[in-house]
This record gives sequence, C-alpha cells and structure tokens, in this order.
Amino acid sequence: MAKVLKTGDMAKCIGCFSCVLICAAVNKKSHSLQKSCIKIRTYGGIAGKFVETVCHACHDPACAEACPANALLLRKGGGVLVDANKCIGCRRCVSACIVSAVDFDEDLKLPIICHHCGVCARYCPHDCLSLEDV
Amino acid sequence: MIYEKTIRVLYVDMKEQQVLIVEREDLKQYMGGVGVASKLLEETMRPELSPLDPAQPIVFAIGALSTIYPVITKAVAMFISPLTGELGETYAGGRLALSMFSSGFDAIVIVNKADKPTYLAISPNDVKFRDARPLWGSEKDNVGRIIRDEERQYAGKRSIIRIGRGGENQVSYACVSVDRYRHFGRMGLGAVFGSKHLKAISIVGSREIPIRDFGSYFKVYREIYETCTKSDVMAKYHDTGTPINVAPLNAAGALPTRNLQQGSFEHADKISGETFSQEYLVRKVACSGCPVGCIHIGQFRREFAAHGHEYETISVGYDYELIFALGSFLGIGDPKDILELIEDVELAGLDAMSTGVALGWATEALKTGLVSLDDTIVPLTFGSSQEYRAAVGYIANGVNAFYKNLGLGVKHASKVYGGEDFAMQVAGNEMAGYHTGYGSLIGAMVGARHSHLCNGGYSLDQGLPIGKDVNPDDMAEALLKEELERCMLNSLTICLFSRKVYDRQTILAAFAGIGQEMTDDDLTAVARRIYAVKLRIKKRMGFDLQDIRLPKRFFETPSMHGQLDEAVAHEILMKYREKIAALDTATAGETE
Amino acid sequence: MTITVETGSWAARWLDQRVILLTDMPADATAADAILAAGIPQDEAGVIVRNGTLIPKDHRLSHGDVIKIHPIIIGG
Repeated sequence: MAKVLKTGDMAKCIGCFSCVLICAAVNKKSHSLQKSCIKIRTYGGIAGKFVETVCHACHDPACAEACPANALLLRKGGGVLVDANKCIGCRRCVSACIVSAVDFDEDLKLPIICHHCGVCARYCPHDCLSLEDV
Repeated sequence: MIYEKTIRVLYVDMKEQQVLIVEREDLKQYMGGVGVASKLLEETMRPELSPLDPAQPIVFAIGALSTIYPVITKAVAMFISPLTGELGETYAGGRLALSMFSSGFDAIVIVNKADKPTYLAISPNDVKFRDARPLWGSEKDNVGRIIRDEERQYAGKRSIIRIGRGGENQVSYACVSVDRYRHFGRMGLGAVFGSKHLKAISIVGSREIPIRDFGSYFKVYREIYETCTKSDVMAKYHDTGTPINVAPLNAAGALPTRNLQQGSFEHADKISGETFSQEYLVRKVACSGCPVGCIHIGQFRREFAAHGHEYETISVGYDYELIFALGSFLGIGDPKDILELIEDVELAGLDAMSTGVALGWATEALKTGLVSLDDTIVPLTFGSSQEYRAAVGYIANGVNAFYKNLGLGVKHASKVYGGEDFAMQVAGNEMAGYHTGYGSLIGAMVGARHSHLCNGGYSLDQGLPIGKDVNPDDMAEALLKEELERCMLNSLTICLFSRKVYDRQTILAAFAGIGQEMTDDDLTAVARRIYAVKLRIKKRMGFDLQDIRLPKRFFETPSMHGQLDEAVAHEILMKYREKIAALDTATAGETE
Repeated sequence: MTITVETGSWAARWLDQRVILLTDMPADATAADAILAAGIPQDEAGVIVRNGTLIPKDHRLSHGDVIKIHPIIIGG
C-alpha cells in the first residue's frame, strides 16, 4: 500500500529541527538545512507557532503539470518522484507549488521535493509527523 | 569547519565597517567552541584597557561537532566582563549555533565601536552594517520583529541576537537575548554590545556541507538520538524541566531565600516546578538540533490598568535559576508575580540571576538603613513584586546614582554603600541558586567564569553523603577534574544538560562518525590546553584566587551540608590554587 | 518491616502512585533499598527526607518510617 506523510499534529511541535536535519542527512547526504524536503519555521519569531512546509501529496500535482520535461513522475499515493536525468533545471515546479513545498538545490540544479519516505516522522520526538497508508 | 583542516574566523571591525575572513589551521588544536574562543580572546584582548573600551573584543564560536549530532546546540561568547573585570564567558542555545554552522563561520571576532547604533546582518555572501538608530531604546520584541520583517526570506534558518535598554546603558550584567527564549545571560555581554553601538546580529547561512561517510555518521547519530529521546537521562529536562529543583533544594535547605537569610522558603510549594507545570505551562520549545526541548513557556494574563475586563496574555520562558533569583531570593511566592518579573527583566535586557541577587541586597540595605528611600525610590520589600518591577526598569535605565551603582553589580554597590557581608556574589559574579555546600561555593570561586556551570559544584555536593566531613584535597581535585572536562565538552559546545549522554566513548564515536580519529588522550590534552589559555587570560587580567573575599552570609546560613566553615573553605581554595600552579600553563602542549 | 515512600509527579515515569507502601522490607534496609524496592532508578533519586531531616542513602531505616524522596538536582 502506498504511504504519504501527514503533518496533523504540529501543535505538539517543539521546533527542534530534527526532521529537517535528518531529511537532509538521509536523503541528500548533507548537513545543510536547505537540502531538506521538509521545512519548519515560525510565525512571528520563535514565540510564534511552528509550521511545517512539505509536499501535500497532491493526486493531480501542479509541479508535475508545470514541468516541461516530464521529469516529475506521478507517485503512487500522491506527490511526485524526480527523474534527475530528465530535469532541465527550469524551476517551473518551484513556482507552481502554492504551498512552497518545492525548493531548488543550487548545487545539483535539481528540485528538492519530498518523496514521502517518512524518515522525518521516525525522527520526530513528539509524533507531530506520521507516515500513513492511503 | 568539520571535515576541514582549518577554523574559519570572521573578523568584524564596527568602526571601519570592514570584515576579514581568515582560515586558521593553528586553531584546530583547540577543537572549537570555548577552546577557539579562548585563544581568540587571548590574542585580541587589551588587558590595559577597561572592559568596555571599544577596542576590547567580543568572540563567538561554535564547536567541533555543532548541530550535526543531537543536543550539540550551544554557541559560546567570550569577552572581558564588565562585571568581574576579567574572563567573560557565556553560552546560549536557540538557533544561533545552527545558523553559524550554516554560515560557515566557526568563530566571529568583533572589535571597535560603530559611529552610530548598528546591527550586523550576516547572510550568504554578505555582511551588512545596518542602521539601528530606530531600534536603539526600543524593547527587544520590536527589534526581533523589525529585523525579521527586513530579512523575511530567511524565515526558519536565521538567528537574531539582540540587547535591550540594559545593554545600551551598559549595565554590568546586561544580557544578550538569543531568538527570544535563550540568552547569553551572565557577565554582561549585553554591556559590551552596548559599548560598541552593536544593537543586534542576525545571521543566516546557506553553506553546503556534504556528509563524507553517511554510513558511519548515521550509525552514531541514530544511537545518540535514541539515548536522548528514549532514556531517563534527558526526559526530566523536557518533563518539568529545571524548575523541578525547587522542591529538592528547599527540602535540603539549599534554596537561597530572602537574600540567603534562609535556605528554605515557606512558599516553596507554590513556586515549585510542579505548580508551574500544572498552572502556567503552555508550551515547550527546543533549541535547533535538540530533540529534547527543555524550554518551558509559562503564560499569564494581565489586566490593562484602569479598564474593566481588558486583558493581555503574556508568555515567558522560565527555568529554575529565574524562579530562584526572582522568586525565593526576593521572598516572592506567587508564580504569576515571578513570571511578570521575568518578563520585565527580559524586556530590560538584564541577566535575571544578577538582577534578582542585586535586588535582594538592595532590599536588605534599605531595611538596615545603609541606603534610603531617596535612593531606592520605591520601598523594596521581600515578597512585594510591584516595587521590584519598578526597580528592574530603574536599573536598566540607571535613573539615579544608587541604581547606576547597583547596575555595576552587587559587589560594587556594597563597596559604595556597605553591606558587603550580605552582598551575595563570588568574585564579582552574583550567586547561583544552589547553597548546597563547599562544592558549590568554592566551585564558583575557582571556576574560570565564577559560574555554577564551570564545574557543577552543586552536583559534587549532591554526591557527598550527608553528615560526613569533606576532604579538602578530594574536593579541590574533583572541582579541577570537572572544570577540565567541561573545557573539552564546551569545545564541542554540547548543551551541558546532555553531558551524561556525551561520555568520552560517545564523543570519540561522534568524531569517528565524521572521519576524525581521536583518542581519549587527545581529549584530555585538549582540555588541558584550553584551561591553560583561560588561566593565562585571568592572570593577565590580574586575577588571583587568594584575593577573593566572600560575603560572611555564605558561612552563616546553613547549607545542604550544614553550616560551612571559612577555614575549610580556605583550605579547599588553597589546595586548588596549588593544583593549578602545578599545571603547565605556559605551553600546555600547544603548537605554533 | 514496613516503610512508606512518598514521591512526586517527577516519579510518574516509573510509578503509578505517589505514595508506595513497602510492607516487606528486611530489618536492615537502607534508604537506597527502599528506593530500589519502590521502583525508582537509583540515579534519579536525590534528596531524601525523614521526619524533616535529610538522610544519606545508606541510612538504616526503622519500621514505620515515612521517607520523602525528591529527584536529583538537575542542570548544567
């Protein structure tokens, strides 16, 4: 069965950034925040509420629609998978996503998009994130 | 930088608005954090000038393992302390270490004074000296908001550190706030910022740091993460947090109360960690890179004056040290009053511990007639928070001669007005909230920065059996051992709450995970090397342990281990002094 | 012998109740034995009070003693 990342319990978030750091480490083999597919930020500084930005696993994704090179393949369960060989680095997917869940890797010239592996959920100490069957 | 042979230092000249990046291989022998910062302070300090002279440096550093493993979340700041007149050292969490790590700067050295109030904006490929004139005199919440709005594109990655009125007015124990809930609290870094017209620093980076050997790294990461999140060693810091200390310290007679006239407080139950959790806790937050999350946020509401049913809701971070300093130490037994005072101290930009201890002395000085109501303006009285709220503002703004003197520290104020026997400071630094015994007291004296965090003396006291005499040589040895170990730990910049997670074996594994083969002996050598630098700095500033005069009250009010004996304290101190004299501080195995 | 152990919310990680009645303690039991029997990890127990007085962990208890266990003092 296909799985997608759910972010239903963000009220429990303590802003530890474990999800961000572990996503960058596991998926991009990098210590750098900006390589992560999931982002955490606050509204109104750290006194504000923590919010996440990550792929919503659309079934009819705008990012794939915007891609002129067929580099974003529809993923079972929702969302997309990036075909690095086909990507031309145009960034249309970045601007197409209205939740800003697509970032761009300036080193690799490839989009950074969550593929719902769930490593962030496994390393969330407060169960804010979960990988669920769909 | 990790994986590299050099330490990358950003030198900033506030006056000339110039920066210089230097890659230094020679600094690697100090690992990072306090090691690198101590060495940079030693190189750039000006012992012949006053601590607030513009030429004095501010040094920031992150550690050798910053933020790549869990709970390694601290940045260190070193400077010449306006409070003690010698080595200044303070740590803060928040997001600063992660932001510095991303920026690619292991250390930042700031000298000289800007012509007008300025904030530094460090971003990928740029360092800007930005106009802070509208922010000067502004409360810190506004400062954060304005800088956030100015540099909106960096949300979620940036750290902002800033001073308040206390720092602008160069109060000797002004703090620097880090990302709202954390602080470079102690020893007056805020005043040093003020002396440079430096209102704030925002820092964000985008440096790409690929993992060299993912398999080795991830294996160690996973083990440390499991220990941090699943074992008992860290859970208590998230659960009730450090305020859990109120009850045991009170039961032990070690909770400094009413300017340490007492070691226990009749209202301890009302201000216990349990009460705060049940009645006021609304949220817990973490420093970036820490899955534990020890920052406890309490909330209270306040009615607007002269209006019916009009309220504002205020959230403030609380910890044991604040509850002690602004609670029991001032005889305040209402948690709401304590939270309100914390908020005031926060907005004033002062160190909560020093402020509370200074006000404790002022209260007694007023009561005993050493100062008058003309001096204190309000009738400072133990247990009455409204007067203390006003006084916090008076200190931050230096409204009269008395408050200006109080703003220079309780040691200074008591020298001017009398009452040195109950001015609760050690070597110029206001006391911490542990009247546990010789470990805590002598630990603060011998500690390089006169903090309870130098050597965890309270923890040594806790380990000693109740009712047994202390062996002076053993105590001196234990303090020195811990001081040295913490030099090493702080060169990694772990949060000291996790020091039981980061035992030597784990540290060596963590280094191995990034391809750095280290031995146990290497760690010992680094510790000695760093401590030697610190001792040299103190010596150059004219510091000698035997010059410290302690207020009598430490020996009058019984501690957790009963009444302390001055002769025993002196013996421990002299033993310690002999031990450090025997260390090779001239070279300590340093290479050129 | 019988020993009563009182704790606080801090011990909820290990105990369901705040007050534990130990009815089967050996006659030479110490405070440390009572902590162990109550189910609190030894490293987590700090200040121990009996009748308003601090006692060390190796203190021999007497039948009917009520001891209050506080957590260890924590911090940096």
